[in-house]
Amino acid sequence: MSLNILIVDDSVTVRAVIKKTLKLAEIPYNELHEAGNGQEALDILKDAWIDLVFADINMPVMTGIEMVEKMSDDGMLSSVPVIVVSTEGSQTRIEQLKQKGISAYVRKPFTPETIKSVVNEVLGDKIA
Amino acid sequence: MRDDLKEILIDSMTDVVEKLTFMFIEEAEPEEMDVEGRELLKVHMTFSGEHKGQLELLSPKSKVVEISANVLGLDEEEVTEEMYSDSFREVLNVLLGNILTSRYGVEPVFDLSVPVVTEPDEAEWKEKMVLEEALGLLLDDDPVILIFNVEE
Repeated sequence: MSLNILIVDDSVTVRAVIKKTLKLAEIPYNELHEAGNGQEALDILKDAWIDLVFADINMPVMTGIEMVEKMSDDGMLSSVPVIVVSTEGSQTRIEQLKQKGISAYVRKPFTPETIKSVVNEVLGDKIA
Repeated sequence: MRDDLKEILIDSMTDVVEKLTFMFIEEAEPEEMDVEGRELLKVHMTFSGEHKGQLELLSPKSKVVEISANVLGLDEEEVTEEMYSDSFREVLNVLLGNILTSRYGVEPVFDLSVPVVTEPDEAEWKEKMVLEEALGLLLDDDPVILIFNVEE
């Protein structure tokens, strides 16, 4: 199955690194969408079918946490898995994120192997 | 600089630049730190929480443009100021997260400021280079200065 993936980060550099890593990790994707903050991401999620979201936490306009909260409250979007990609190292904050409903957490910097492993863990046989 | 801190800074910088920029880091000799006549950039951010301090990275501008071009998959001529500033900020952001976890573990919670990019002159480069906390490194043969300060 080829995935439709949404990458949400205010840094064009991080979005480029994630895109490059998805290719290196040989994650099968069909469409790649990009958003610079949580609000832009929600707008895309309302218009396009998305299988997986990679999101930063700290972004202007709407943070990744606010975006995840709004997705959780939306019947259509609550089942879309969100992998948070961030520099956060505090276990307390990572646990808080998991309680908010994120599917997984990846700490920067990451390798293609890490991304592949996390995507497999989150999507299971959907990408088999 | 204490040896244990120096090791953390070099290990963190190696991990971050290799994974993010596909470049390599080594410790520089003083005579390799000359940047005469080159345009320079500095990126700076602070952290607070259980410990408080700041991290700074100084580099020739051409190296920052090269990093940005590599990461974004563009020719260097296509890289705008907005792009290379974004790449430079991201390198420092990831680096600080890495250093804090290596030094203090995963228990403390830190708040990080937004990284700010400025254009230092050669005099500032020379002032920073001789600071006790300054670490001179070669990033694929170009000199960079990394400064990690903690307010005790």
